[in-house]
Amino acid sequence: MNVKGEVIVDANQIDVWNALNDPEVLKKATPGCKVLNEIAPDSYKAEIVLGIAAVRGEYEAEINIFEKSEPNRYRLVMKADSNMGFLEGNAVVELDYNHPNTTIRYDGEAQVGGLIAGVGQRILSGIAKMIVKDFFKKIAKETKSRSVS
Amino acid sequence: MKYIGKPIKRKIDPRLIRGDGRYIADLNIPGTLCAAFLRSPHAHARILGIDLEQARKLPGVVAVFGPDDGTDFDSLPVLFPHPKLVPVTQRPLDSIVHHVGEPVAMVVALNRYIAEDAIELIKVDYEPLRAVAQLDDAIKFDAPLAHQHLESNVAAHFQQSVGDAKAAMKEAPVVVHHRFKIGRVSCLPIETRGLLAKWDYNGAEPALEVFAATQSQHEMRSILAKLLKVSETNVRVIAPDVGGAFGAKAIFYVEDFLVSWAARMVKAPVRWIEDRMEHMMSSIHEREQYHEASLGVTNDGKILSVMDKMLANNGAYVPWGIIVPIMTSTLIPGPYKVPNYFCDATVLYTNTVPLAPFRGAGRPQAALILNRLLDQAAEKLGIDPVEIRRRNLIQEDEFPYRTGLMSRDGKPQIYDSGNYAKVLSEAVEISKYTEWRKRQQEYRKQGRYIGIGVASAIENTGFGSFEGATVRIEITGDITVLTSAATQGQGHETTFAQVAAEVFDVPVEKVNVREGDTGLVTYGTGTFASRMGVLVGTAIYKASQAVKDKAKAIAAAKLNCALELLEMKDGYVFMVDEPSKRISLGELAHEARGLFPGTTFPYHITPGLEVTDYFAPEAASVTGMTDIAVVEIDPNSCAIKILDYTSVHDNGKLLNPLIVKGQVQGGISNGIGTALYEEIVYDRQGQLLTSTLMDYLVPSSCEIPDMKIGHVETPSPLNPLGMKGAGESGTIPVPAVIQSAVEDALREWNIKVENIPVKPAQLRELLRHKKQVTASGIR
Repeated sequence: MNVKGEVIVDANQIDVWNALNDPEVLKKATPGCKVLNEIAPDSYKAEIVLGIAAVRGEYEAEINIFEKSEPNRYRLVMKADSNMGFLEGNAVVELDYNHPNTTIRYDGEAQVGGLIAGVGQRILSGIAKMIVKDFFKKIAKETKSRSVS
Repeated sequence: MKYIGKPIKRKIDPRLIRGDGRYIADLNIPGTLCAAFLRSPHAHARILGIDLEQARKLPGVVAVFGPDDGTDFDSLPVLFPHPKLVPVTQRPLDSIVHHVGEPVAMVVALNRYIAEDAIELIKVDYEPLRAVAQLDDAIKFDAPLAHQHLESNVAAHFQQSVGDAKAAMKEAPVVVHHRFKIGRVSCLPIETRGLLAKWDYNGAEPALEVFAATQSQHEMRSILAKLLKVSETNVRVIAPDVGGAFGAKAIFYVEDFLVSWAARMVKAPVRWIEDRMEHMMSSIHEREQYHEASLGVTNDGKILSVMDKMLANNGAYVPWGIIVPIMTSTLIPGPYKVPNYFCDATVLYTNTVPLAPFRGAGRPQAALILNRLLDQAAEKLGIDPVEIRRRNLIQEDEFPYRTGLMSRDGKPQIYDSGNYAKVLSEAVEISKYTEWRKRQQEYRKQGRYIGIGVASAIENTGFGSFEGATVRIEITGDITVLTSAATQGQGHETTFAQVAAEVFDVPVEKVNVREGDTGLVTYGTGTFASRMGVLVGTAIYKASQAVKDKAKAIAAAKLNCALELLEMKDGYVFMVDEPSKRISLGELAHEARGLFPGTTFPYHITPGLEVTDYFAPEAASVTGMTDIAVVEIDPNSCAIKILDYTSVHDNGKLLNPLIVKGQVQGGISNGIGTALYEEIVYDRQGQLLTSTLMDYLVPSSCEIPDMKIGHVETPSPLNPLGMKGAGESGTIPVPAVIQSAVEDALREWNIKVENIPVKPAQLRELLRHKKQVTASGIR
């Protein structure tokens, strides 16, 4: 399924870019993230607990960042496994500064597999969109609080 | 006839209704362990590594098996090979998975709870491979391959031809076209699959006893013996009460092998009961086909030529060969005279659950094609849809009718008998078709959209190769009938008792039928293809006649009279002239087994009032049917409501009209599911999106209309009782008749309904599109 959207952050582009590359921010922004470790540059391992209906469960996730073009865009590839199945996401994240705000645009594909693909299919795309939107909203919030401090 | 043809209530029902049925899950064998399977979340992947250690350590776990244990396993045997088929069958615990739901590992534990907990502790490292799931994708030249070792996704490409369809089409004054996109359904018996395997090591050789929810215990025995490398004599397969099957339980699955193999490994009985999600992602599916078809007719609607291009999805494997598309391709002409016919069929592998016969088996698809093309031709010529059908039906005096095609058994396809015009006329009459046509006009004036659909179809039933029965007179005078059939709700215990009761002239209550056990009759094939009544019924009839002859021979000797002077009735053989001179069947049974040990057997018959006989029909007996449906469509929501449903069947001589009526009602309900509600959906990557009954819509009693059911009885000349099959025919015309009625209701918009199931959302989209086109001035 396609996941696409944008969030406007009241901060400059460099601050947003730094937030998007800071493991602490990523951890806070990722819904249900209990642990997030940088295992190599631009490569993270995380433990995520989701509590939303059909995708409820504990996931082991791998997040990798590719095609980095500072401070404008990168590609984020996420793979999360649980006993209920897997979630995969592949999205291009782009920043666009228009004083005084920065727009985060994301456009990608999410794939759900295994048991969760078949359970409550009708609500799944809604959940995926909500999770992603939530992630970028939190990034926005974290960026703002960092730029204020 | 005294018993055959009587609407006798099913003998089995009181026991089942009281909850006294005994299914696989009910068996209580001490020490039985439980199995559970870890199933692939990927449609196509290589297993790079698997960690079974955590699962093995869980208390209560007895054994855990993975791909490393399966390196020596054979692939499942290829059934129904075909010269054009590139066969790929499933290999148990293979290190490459080819559809979501394929077993990857197996846990055997003290109970199912522990087994499922252990499944969660197994870690698998998959390397996902490119997958293909949908027909549109699979046929592309650069499509991902469903099987990496194959050159393409084409499992088979074959053609059927009569006359010169292309030339005849060119010359036809009127040519119409229609496309069909038929979705995929699950068989969905209420009882899911299940198996209990138990080895006995205390005999001369290890022996296996398997209790299975199966339609084909003899086939299962034969495949298990082959895969486990033991003799068939040492394998016994028992099908106790089985709660529905519809095709899902005719297949031999890898789980059947794995449970039996694991029971040998752990030296204890092992049971596995499939859960509903497993059923959706591992038990066979059916129906999915695309067609592009053309029909050429004369100006008065006579068929000149039919051409069809078919794409059929067969899923990841061919558990039953390519029987379904072959069936469709040979039955598109159906009850109509088609002088020139051509069908080009391509069967494709995809990374989805395999497709194999489900009740109807390719025939509902076949019935759609020509019936819906006739609708288009009728519209174009301004002929009533019933009338154009009537003009093209094979006539009563044209049987046996050669279609010019080859049947699935490789012999010329010959329809043995029928009276299609009478079936159509009765349906028209019972449904009050003419009245509905008038009402349709009146309703239209009131803003109501009513549509009437009609479809005629046939079914080739009672296929070979054979079935058998043993008939025995007990010393109590009761009749025992042992058959090679298995029952999943067809009421065999009643219909077969009626056949024996007829021959011996005893009440049905005196006849006890036992089946579903390889220990009863040496050879058999299985319950599928609407063939049990015809084959087992005839085997019982023949064996009963032979037992009756033996009983009369003993009586003749005892009463010292000629055979011709004797008759059998109500448990006695008696002299016609002097009915007081009689011997009971029990006494004759006693005589037949020798009175005392060591005495000389006095009769010129083989000892025992028991005969085993088999019946192998020379060809299929062909049934006919016509359905007429009236639907109403809400123009705003596009909700479809069935207002009236009529179905007239010619199933040959009926053994029990009450049971046949039940079969027809059930079949139509199945058909309504296919036509309007049920659809298994995969996304393009092969993820199953309908793995629960929340997402897979099954009609309930509320959606099933009252039905008017009629029968015409044209006896088949291919068996002594004139029987034809009846288990599947209900399903066959339903998609055609519903699609036809829906299109008729929306005639004003001139839209073409091409999908099965027909869903309100599609109709809304079609109407919206039509309105846009109309508004933009392009008409």
